[in-house]
Amino acid sequence: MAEIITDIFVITLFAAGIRLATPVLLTALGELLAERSGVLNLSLEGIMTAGTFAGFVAALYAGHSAGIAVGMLSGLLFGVLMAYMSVTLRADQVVTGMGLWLLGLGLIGFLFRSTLGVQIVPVTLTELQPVKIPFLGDIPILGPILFRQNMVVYFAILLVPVIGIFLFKTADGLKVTAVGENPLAADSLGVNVFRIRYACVIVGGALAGLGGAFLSLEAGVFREYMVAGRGWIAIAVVIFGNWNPYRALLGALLFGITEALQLRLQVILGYGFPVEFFYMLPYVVTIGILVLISRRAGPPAALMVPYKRGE
Amino acid sequence: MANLFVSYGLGILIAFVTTGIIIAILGRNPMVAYAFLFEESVASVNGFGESLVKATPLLLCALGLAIAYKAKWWNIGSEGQLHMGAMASTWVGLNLATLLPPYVFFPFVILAGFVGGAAWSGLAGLMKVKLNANEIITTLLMNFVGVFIVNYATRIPWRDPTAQENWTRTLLESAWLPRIWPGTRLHAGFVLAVLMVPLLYVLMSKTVLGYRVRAVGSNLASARYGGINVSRTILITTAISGGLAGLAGMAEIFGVQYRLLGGFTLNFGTAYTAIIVAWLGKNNPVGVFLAAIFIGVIITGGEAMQRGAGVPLAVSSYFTGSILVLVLLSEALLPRVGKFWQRSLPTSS
Repeated sequence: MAEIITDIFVITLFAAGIRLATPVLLTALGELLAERSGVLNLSLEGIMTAGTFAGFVAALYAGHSAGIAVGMLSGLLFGVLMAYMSVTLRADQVVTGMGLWLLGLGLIGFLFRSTLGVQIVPVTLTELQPVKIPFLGDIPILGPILFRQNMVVYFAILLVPVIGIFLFKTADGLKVTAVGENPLAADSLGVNVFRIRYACVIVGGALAGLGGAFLSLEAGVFREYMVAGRGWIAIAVVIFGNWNPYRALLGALLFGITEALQLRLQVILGYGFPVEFFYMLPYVVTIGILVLISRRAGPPAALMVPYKRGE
Repeated sequence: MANLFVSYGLGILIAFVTTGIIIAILGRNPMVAYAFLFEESVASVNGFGESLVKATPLLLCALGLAIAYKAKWWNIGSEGQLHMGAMASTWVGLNLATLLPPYVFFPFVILAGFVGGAAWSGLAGLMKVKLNANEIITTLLMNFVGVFIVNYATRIPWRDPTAQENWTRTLLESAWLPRIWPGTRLHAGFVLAVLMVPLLYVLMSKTVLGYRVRAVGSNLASARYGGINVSRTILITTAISGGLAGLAGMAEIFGVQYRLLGGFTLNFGTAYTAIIVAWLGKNNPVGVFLAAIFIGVIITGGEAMQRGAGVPLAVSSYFTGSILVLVLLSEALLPRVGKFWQRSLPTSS
C-alpha cells in the first residue's frame, strides 16, 4: 500500500479533487448568497441539471465559451423564477424549490431524449483544457495542484475571497446579512429587502448553472443524471460551512477529494471491494460531516421566511 | 374550496398547453398525442388498470410523505426507503416462502417491507433528533446510498446465477400478490394502498399521535410547551413515513416485478413524483389518493404517447413537474388577480 502513496498519487489526487469540487463549490457559493439573504433555494439540483444540459448543447454548436454563458443563463432564468415565486409571491420556499427542481429534471430529461437522445456512442465534445499559469505552474507540488487547472476552476477559487470580502467588508454585503437576519429592521433602515433577495437568488442560480455547465464541459459528455446529487451536496456544504464562504470551500474540497479518492480506490482496491461501496463514499462522507457539524449550525434567522411589508 | 378547483384547473390546463407546445416544437402532433394519452390510460380497461398499477407505489409513498410533511419533516428519501423495503421484503420472500404457512408468510412480507423503509427513514430521523442534521440533505443522500446497496445486492450476493441481468431469483408464484382485475396488471398491492387511505385519515385526524404530529408541524415551540415529546413524535413520524415507502417497494416487487432488480424504479422516478402527489393532495389522505390516480394516469398516458405518437417518455416527468409549479403559481397568483380585479371594478356611485 505504501508504494502507492507516492508524490504523483497525492498530487494528482489533490489536483483532481479541486477540479471535482468546482461544480459543488460554485453552486454552494451561490446558494450561500441566497441563504444569507434569507431564501432557501432547493431547486439547485434542477438548476445544475439545466446548466449541464444547456451548456453542453450550446458548446456543441458554438464552443466552450458559449456553453459556459448559456449554462449561466439557464441558471439565471431558474433563479428569476425561484426569486419571483419565493420573494414576490411568498410561496412556500421548500415546496417551490422542490417543484422547480422536479420541473428542471423533467424538462431536461425530456429535451435530452428528444434531441441528443440516448445513443450507443454518446455525443462528445473536446473537454475544457487546463490553463497553466506561467511561473506558478512550475512550483513543485503546489504547481500542478493549484496552477494547472481550468479557467472555471480559477474563477471558482477566486470567487471565494471575493464573496468573503463582499459579505463581510462591504456595505452591500452587510445589507445582505441584515436582510437574512432581520428583514423588518433592514427594511426600516431603507434597505430594499426585495431587491437584495432577488439579486442573491438570481446570482445563486447563475452560479449553479455555471457549476452544472462545468460538469458536462469538463467531462466532454452529457449523461442523464450526471449531476447525481451535487446540488444537494452544495446545500450541505453551505450548512457545514456555517454560511461562510471560506468554510464552504473546505467542505467542497472535502467532497471533491473524496470523489477523487473514491475513483482511485476503485482501481487500487478494485477486486476486493464491490464498486458500489466506492460510489457510496462521497455521499456517506457528506452525511457524516454534516451530522458532525450540525450541532452548532447557525443559519440566518429569517431563512425561509418570506418577507411581507407591513407585518 | 372553489378557489382550489380554479387554481388546480388552471394550473393543469396550462400544463397541458405548455407540454403540448413542446410536443409540437419537437415535431409531433399534440392533439394526436393527447388522444393516445386519454385512450390508453383512462378509456380502456387495460389502460386504466395500468394507471392504477403506476398509482400504487405513488399512493403509498405519497401517503407517507403527507404525514411527514404535516410534521414539517421534509422527507425526500422515499426512493431509498422504497428500495430498503423492497430489499427486506424480497429477503423474506426468497428465504421464508417455503418455511412459513401462507397466513404467516404474507404478514411477514408486509412487515419486512414496512420495517425496511422505516429503519432507513428512522436513521435519518435519529440524525435529526440527536444531531440536528438537516433531513432534506440526509434523506436525499441516503437515497443514493440505498440504491447503491440494492444494486450491489442484486449484482453479487443475491444474484440469480442463471440470469443475464442483475436480479434475484424469481419469487415463487405462491408468493406473488394476486391480480385483482382480469385483463390488467392490477394487483393486491393497490388494495393495500387504498386501505391505507382511511387508516391514515383516522390516524391523522382522530388519534392522539395524529394530533401530536400536526402540532409539531404547525408550531414546534407551542407543541413542546404543551408537553409533547417532540423527538419521539418526529421519530415515529419518520418511521411511518419510511415504512409506507417501504411498503411501496414491497408492492412493486411482489406485485409487478416478482424479483428484486438493480435500478428497478427507473432512475428516481417514483419517489420524487410522490412528492408532487403528496403536495397536490395537500397532504390529505383523500386528496393524495385522487392525486395519485391522476398522476398514474399521466404517467401511463406518457407511455402511450411514446408508443403511439413518438413523444419521448420523459414527457410525463416534465408534465408532472410543470403541473406542480403551475398549480403553485396559480395558487399564489389567484388571490392577487382577485384583488386587482376588485380594485379595477367601478365603485358604485
